[in-house]
Amino acid sequence: MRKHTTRPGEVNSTGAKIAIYSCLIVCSVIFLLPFFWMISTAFKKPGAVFIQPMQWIPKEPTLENFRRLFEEFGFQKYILNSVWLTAVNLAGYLISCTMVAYAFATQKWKYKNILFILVLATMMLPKEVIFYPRFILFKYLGLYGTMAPLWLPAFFGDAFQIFLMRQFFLGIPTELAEAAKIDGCSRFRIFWNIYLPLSKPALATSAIYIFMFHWNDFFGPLIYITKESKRTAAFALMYLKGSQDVQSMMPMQMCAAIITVIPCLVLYYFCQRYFIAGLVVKGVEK
Amino acid sequence: MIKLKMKAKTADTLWFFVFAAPWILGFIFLTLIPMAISLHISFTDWNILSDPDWVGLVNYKTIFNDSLFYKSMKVTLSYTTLSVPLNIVLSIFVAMLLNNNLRGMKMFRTIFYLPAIVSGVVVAIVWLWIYNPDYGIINSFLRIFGIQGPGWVYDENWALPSVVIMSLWGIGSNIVIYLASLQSISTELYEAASIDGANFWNRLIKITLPGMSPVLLFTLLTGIINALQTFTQAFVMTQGGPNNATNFYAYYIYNNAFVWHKMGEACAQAWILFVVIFILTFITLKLTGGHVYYDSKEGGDIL
Repeated sequence: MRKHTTRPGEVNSTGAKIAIYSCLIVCSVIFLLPFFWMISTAFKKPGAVFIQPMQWIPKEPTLENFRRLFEEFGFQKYILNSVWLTAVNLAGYLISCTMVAYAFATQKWKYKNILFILVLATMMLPKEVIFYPRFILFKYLGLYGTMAPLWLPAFFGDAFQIFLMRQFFLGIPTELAEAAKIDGCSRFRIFWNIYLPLSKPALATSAIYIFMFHWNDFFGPLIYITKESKRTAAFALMYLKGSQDVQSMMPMQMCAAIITVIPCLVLYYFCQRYFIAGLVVKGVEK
Repeated sequence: MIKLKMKAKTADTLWFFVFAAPWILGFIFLTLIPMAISLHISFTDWNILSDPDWVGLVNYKTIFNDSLFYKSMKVTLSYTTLSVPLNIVLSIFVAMLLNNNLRGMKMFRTIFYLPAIVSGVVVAIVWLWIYNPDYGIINSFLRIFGIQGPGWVYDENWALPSVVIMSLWGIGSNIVIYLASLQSISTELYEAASIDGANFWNRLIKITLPGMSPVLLFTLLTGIINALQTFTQAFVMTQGGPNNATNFYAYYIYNNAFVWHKMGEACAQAWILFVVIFILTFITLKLTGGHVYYDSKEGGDIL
């Protein structure tokens, strides 16, 4: 594709450049302010939180809030729960979605395209219609109060990820699979040794989506987690709110917020390409 | 020979089902059956602990006579009509700014995208403090100019606009999508237009927006569907208050189900939401039907 040289409102005048940059700089300062505030508050002593005018750079920075968060509130166990839950979900979705996508992309069945429309249709369902009945189902099964409802669905696939993966698999030349078949490869080996290794970019895009969703998920844990020890990081954050001593709770909340955001930031830093690929597939290709 | 072919065909079908099994099982047990259960429950009186009692249409009648239902519908629909268009217009504006061959555009793109990777709870908690009438950064800033800012989420009239403003912090993903779409519009069109002497607005309306239309439609639809299901902000920040000014529909369903243990009513409400979403999607598709141009298939060169 051609590199663009002319664009709407092509910028060649200095005036236009200044206008564009000043707009962007003002907007980005507004966008970044909440982050600055979060960070500065996390390092403030409880007494300094409400001092007016606000100190953007704390006069006496402290790590005390982080220490209390881990020692008094045991935030590490919530992080561990989140890590575990996210990992199981990642494994589950990657296995199930790639398998199903492989079926729709390569296997033969007369009505598979009709079935695929059904897969796409489930994407349109609002989560409330599925969520409350699922709750009832899990309650009947005696799984309410366990972590199972939060990871079990992963092993049954997700429509959007299946869609994304199928698109990618369709782009892999069928000659590869046919050659392998002649060599006596089973369908499973073709899937495992040819399709999966060739789909690393798609797998990465999917993995990021799944990670972000489950790491940040709030509604699921809110409904299914009943025990304090099972709370996830994003969910436990809520409970840091409900204390009387606002001055010392607020910096701790911000510490917890920073800790939950950091993995996403790191992931974004290293995998920017795949983040954007995911969004673009979502937006442009549909 | 025919027999062998038949056998191969059966084997093919069998293998299709082996690989597709996770989704098929999930669809039956985690989607279809729960939906059937929920439809059934919506016709019963059930507090989760005892057995459900069949009451016919009573739940639906109660809902349609409930003033809080109309209030929460109004809140949710106002939020949707305010936040979705604002979000789209602002995203287009920023995406167009970013779509210039100038230095530092990647950095700005990252900055705008950052809030989109932050968990909804974190966003809600941080903004709750930003909106604090006494110590929040907005009112502290206004005080410098001698202005006493409003109570934001603590004020009945300002609560909903506050949630709308907050939602604009998360426009990053739309910006990235629009930027990709802008970059996939063919340059020849713009070149031809400038030869014809078209000005900025002409190009925007005749080339840019039509070129983006499939993506605009997609983001409009997902925006509406997501806005109608707004929950976290109400739960974390306002508990639906003050005076139900932010009693979002999804939050009301949650309360019915898990706080007041009226599962029957909650399921009925969820089905009403389903119908509302279906109708709004249908209307959006009908209204935009003639204005969407599917001619650019490329995803842009930002990758």
